[in-house]
Amino acid sequence: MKYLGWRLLHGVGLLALLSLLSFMLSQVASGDFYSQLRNDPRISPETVAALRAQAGIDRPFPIRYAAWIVAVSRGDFGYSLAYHRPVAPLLEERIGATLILTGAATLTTWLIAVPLGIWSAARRGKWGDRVSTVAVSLVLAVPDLVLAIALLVLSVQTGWLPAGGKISRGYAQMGSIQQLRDVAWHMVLPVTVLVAGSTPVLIRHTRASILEVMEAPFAMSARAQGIPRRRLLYRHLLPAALNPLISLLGLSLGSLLSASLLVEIVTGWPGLGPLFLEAVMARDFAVVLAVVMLSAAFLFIGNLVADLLLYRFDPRIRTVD
Amino acid sequence: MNRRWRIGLTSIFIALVVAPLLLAGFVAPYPYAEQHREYPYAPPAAVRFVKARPFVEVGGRWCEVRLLPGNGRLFGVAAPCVIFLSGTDGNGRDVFSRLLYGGRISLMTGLLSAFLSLALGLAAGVVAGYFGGWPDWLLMRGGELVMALPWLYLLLATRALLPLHISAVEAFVWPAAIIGAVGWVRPARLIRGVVLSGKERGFVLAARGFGAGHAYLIRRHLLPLTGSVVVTQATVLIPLYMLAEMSLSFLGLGVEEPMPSWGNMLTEASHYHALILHRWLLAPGVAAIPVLLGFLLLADILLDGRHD
Amino acid sequence: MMAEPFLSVRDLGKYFAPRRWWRKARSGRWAIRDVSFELQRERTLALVGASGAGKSTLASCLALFETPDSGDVRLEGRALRHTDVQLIPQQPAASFNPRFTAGEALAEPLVIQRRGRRHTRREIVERAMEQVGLSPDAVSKPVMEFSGGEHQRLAIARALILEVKLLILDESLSALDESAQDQVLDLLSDLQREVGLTYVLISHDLTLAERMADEIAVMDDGRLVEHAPTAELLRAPRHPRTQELVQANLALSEDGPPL
Repeated sequence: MKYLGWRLLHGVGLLALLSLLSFMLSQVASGDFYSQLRNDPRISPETVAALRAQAGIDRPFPIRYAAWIVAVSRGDFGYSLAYHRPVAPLLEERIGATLILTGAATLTTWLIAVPLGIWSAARRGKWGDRVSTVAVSLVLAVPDLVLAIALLVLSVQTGWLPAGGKISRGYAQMGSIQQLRDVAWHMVLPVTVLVAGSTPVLIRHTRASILEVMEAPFAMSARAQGIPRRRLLYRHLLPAALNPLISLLGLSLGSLLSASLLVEIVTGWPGLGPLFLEAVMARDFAVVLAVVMLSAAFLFIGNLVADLLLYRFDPRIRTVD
Repeated sequence: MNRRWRIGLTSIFIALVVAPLLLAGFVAPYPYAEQHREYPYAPPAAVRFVKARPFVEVGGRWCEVRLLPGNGRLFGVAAPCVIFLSGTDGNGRDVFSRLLYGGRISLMTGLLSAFLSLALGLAAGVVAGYFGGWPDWLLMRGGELVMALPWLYLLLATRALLPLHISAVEAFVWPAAIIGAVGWVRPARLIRGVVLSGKERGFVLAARGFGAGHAYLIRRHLLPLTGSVVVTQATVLIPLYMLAEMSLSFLGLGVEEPMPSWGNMLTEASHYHALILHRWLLAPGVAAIPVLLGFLLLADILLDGRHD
Repeated sequence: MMAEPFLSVRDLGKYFAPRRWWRKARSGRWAIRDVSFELQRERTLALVGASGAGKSTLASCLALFETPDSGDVRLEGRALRHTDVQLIPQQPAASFNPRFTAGEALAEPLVIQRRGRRHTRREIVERAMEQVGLSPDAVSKPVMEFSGGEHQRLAIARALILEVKLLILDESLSALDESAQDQVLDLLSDLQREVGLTYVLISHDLTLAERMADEIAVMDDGRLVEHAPTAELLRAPRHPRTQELVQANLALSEDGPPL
């Protein structure tokens, strides 16, 4: 498990460096939270200066960074000037919302894409494979943004799905089962968009991966021994083809989080996305920094999990270790 | 169909869907900022053919649509009449015209930022792969740092460093610069790999045996090797960066009004009233699909070529 | 006092270790060690030995592909330069950029050394192609369209263009069939007389060494263990490794034609 230790150390180092870099860059950024006030003739420059002093923005960089590190180690990630609250509780509300969206999307994507990819690979060059290949390219060409708005139009026009948000009015009065159903109902639209965005990529990779192991000598000899086709596909080929897909699990998390940011904003889902956008707009750097670090941590953890799965399932890696 | 044919056909398809965008000044019936205050949220014009001549209905009157009406535009209608093929927005601006001009901006952003990414990636990749040692280490660790963030988060965080509102020209250049600058890592890694294996090839060793310097080896032997990777990456990056521009502008952090882009036009389309009443505002999103499809197909063919 | 030898190699050593830029190499091994020999002008020396004995490393050091970690190589009493020596590899096709034409490939050393102008370069290239028995009309043919034996000739021509004095033939003939081998051998011995070249032939094949070399040096485990005129070495091998090689070669030639 020396390998895991190294990965952890590497990741922590990377995050630390990232925080230092982001913090430094936020210093050279043009304008801060109070820049808008300065343009307001009713507020005197002295007041703005006093506010900045109070918020500690005018202190020298090393002191501020140290203060930030202390805040992180205390677990509150600094103080949001826009919300007049510590950042951590703000984030807590949002993280869950984003994770439930990306989690549901990942699960659905895999459930749809892997069987479709296998199906397509098994019928390589035939009619069904060609149709699915073209369909995959077509779906890929529809931007998530456009799909999200189009689905919103559809749900507004037909009333089949709620038009954005996470909960209905009167949520507080519902029983817990109803509350769960309500949230699930609101999740359908954003999750559909995310799944539509990530499924084509995974179908392609599954197909390519299966096709590659089909050509492998062990598959040839298995076929020559007369192992039934279905058994060959699921018992012999799929496990071997899964390994490259597992590392994709970690990699695709980045694009999924990005897509989620956009979809959350379009559909009014109260996740990290809208919070981040507001913070960027308001120059609320404590929040920006916290979200940056958090998304990097998600990505790192995702890749770590993928690596561990790979370590568990792929004997070749263990021998290298 | 063989590969060369498929590349040719896809390129023709791209040229066809991109041409109206590049010729926006000619194809669009109106300038992108021209407001028709009397027609806010006008629905798409109904075009009827009478004896093979096209007419549009405006306020109960029928006006003939003329080809090359003499104002330097492809088509138009005589003065009191107006033609809004895809309706108008809240300011009475012709969505069809803005869609063409906006597409041009989105496309240009995609091209410019892809060019920037590839230039940076080429420089970083060649330096890292050729010289190795600490420059390689530094560049690759820097790349890891960039890749540690989901790309849209990275894009927004980088955007947060710049002033919120910027002038019109800057508003076009900055998004392209950010998108391009942030995307250097992937091409750099690929090019590093090519250079790394290339510098061990017999003809490079031979040229070194003749006493060739670094500049000669890179220019004459190694850069030509990276050619196919660069072309393939360009086709991968252009649609990706067009999407990035759309996202940034949609969020109000990219190309700004009154200059149209597919992204900032969609902002209005996502407002609640538009969802119910003004669905034609989604047109730029639909227009994006064939353009993106063309580039994606081309990238597929080129990437596939590696296995041929 | 004896005259200055043409080529003199003193205590040459090359150390290979997994190196990182931030720390000194920790563990590694000497690929060649304490190699010393001398060679007179217009003679041919064959370096033989089992694979892994360090022949190719020595060739790389002699061709200036690698910088030795100890000792030095001198030619006519001064340090060896890029323009003195060329290596002809086993697969010369790989040593030509597939995007180049024969003319571009042969002119490359001149371009790198900034010698001559465009038209004088072309003359030099065409003359070199004639010298190695290739038609000067093929100057604008892409290098990839030449055959294996022709690649060998192109590589020799490229060396001639630089007017090198020393050619390292690193298993250069091993990949050719017998008739092509004979032709290139004839070409090489003609050139040796006409231009005054000196050869170092790296080979695992003692038969080839016997045919071509004036003297043979045997390498084992990175060291030069025996160095003697060809006939003498084959008649009375002294080092056990040499004896093995000679016997193996005898066995082969008794069983049938050499491979």
